[in-house]
Amino acid sequence: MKYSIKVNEVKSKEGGNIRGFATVVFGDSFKITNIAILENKEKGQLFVSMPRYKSNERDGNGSTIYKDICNPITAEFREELYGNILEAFEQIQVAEQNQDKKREMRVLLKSQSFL
Amino acid sequence: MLRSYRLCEIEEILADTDTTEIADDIVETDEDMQLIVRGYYVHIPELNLYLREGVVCIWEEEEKLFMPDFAVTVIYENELETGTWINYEQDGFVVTLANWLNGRCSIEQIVQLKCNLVMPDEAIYKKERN
Repeated sequence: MKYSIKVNEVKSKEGGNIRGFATVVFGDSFKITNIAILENKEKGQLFVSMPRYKSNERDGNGSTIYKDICNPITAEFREELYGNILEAFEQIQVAEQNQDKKREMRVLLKSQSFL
Repeated sequence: MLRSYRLCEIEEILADTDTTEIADDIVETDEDMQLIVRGYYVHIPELNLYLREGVVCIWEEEEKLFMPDFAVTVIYENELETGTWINYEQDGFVVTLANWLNGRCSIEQIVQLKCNLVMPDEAIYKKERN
């Protein structure tokens, strides 16, 4: 299946659990936005959450039950899609780290040229 | 980097724009909710207002996590560095702005407003490179 993934990292000074949002476009014609990339801090694991809506149903504690607006319907494709979203997120983090290093280097070179 | 458009076309333009390199920001966190906004923004010079797309996240006690709940448009009145938004609504740019203006401008005027799409990181990067 042909699809593309775009990821935006969430910058947080306080270290929130929402690490990014992904947009997936299927076949250049169908787009799903606001797919969340979340971190379970206890397990130190990233996971993907599809966009959800509030249903009228309540759980045993009386809390609102949220349901996915859309989701992969086979385990194989879910594994593939979520794996690729997390991979895209990791790539953007590596790219950003490299860019930060370049910026630091530029600042260092500039400050040296003033000496 | 600034790109100028009419407000009625901005959402379509944004849908086709690659904003991958621009990180989102958490602009507010309290016990129950967190407001996350996109790093890019839309400036309307005529009204001196700034619009940003965002997501309201709510705290889920069971999961012990903030989870995305609904998408919003966030309005800022001043420079974005101050970080204080003045209003947000679960709607697009035009409707959110029209509600905020509360009849001071007609929808016909609002859709024709000139606005600039600003990609801050990109602008900073280019400035540094020069």
